[in-house]
Amino acid sequence: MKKQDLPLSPHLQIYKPQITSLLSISHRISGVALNFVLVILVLGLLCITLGESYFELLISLINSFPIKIMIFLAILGFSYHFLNGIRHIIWDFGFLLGNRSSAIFGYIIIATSFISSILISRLLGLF
Amino acid sequence: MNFTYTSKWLFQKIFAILFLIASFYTVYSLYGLELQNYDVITGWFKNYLNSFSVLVMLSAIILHSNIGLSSIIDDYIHKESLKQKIILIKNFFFVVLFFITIFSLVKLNL
Repeated sequence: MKKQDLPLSPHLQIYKPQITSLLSISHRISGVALNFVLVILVLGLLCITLGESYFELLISLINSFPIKIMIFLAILGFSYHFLNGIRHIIWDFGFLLGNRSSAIFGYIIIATSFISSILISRLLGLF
Repeated sequence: MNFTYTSKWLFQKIFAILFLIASFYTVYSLYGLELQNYDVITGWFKNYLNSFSVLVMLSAIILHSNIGLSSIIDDYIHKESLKQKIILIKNFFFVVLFFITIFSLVKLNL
C-alpha cells in the first residue's frame, strides 16, 4: 500500500466511542481551542500597549456577560487540557494503563476540571 | 532542524512546565492589584521581571502549541502538499503572535 493510502490514526470513524478515546480527542480539541485564547491574550497585551482608550475597551469587553462566559469556558478548557496532560504523562511512564483504572481516572479528570474551573472563576471574581 | 518524536515529546513537556511556572508567577504578582486601572497595569509591566515572565509565558505556550498542532496536522491531513501549506501558515501565525508579544513588551518598557 502506498504511504498516502495508509489510514491515519486515530481512526475516529472506526472505533466505538469510549471514555478514554473521547477524552483523548477532547484533549486535542481543547488544545486547538486554546490557541484562540492565546490569540486573545496577545491581542489583550497589544490593547494595553496601544493606550488607555484601547485598555478601557478591553476592560468593558471583559466585564460583559457573554465574554465572562467565554472566559469561563477558556478556564474550563485550560483546566481540562492541563489535568488531562498530566494524565497522559502518567500513562507515558506506564502507570494506570488498565481499562478500569484509565476509565476511573478519566471521570476524575472531568470532575476535577469542572470543580477547579469554578474555583478559579470565583477566585478571579468572574461571577 | 529535524526533531525526533521523542525530542518533540520532551520539548512539549518542558514548554508546558515553563508556561506553568511563568503563569503562576504572573498570577501571583498580579494578585491584589487593581487590574482595571491602566496606570497600575502599565506600572506592573515596567518591572522587568514581570515583563520577562509574560514573555516566557507566551513564548512557551506558542512553542508548546506549535508542536501540538504539528502532530495534529500530521495525524489528520493526508495530502502531503496540503500538509506543508498548513504547517507554513501555522508557523507564520505563531511568528506573528511572537512578534506582537515582543513589540508590546518592548513598547510597554520604553
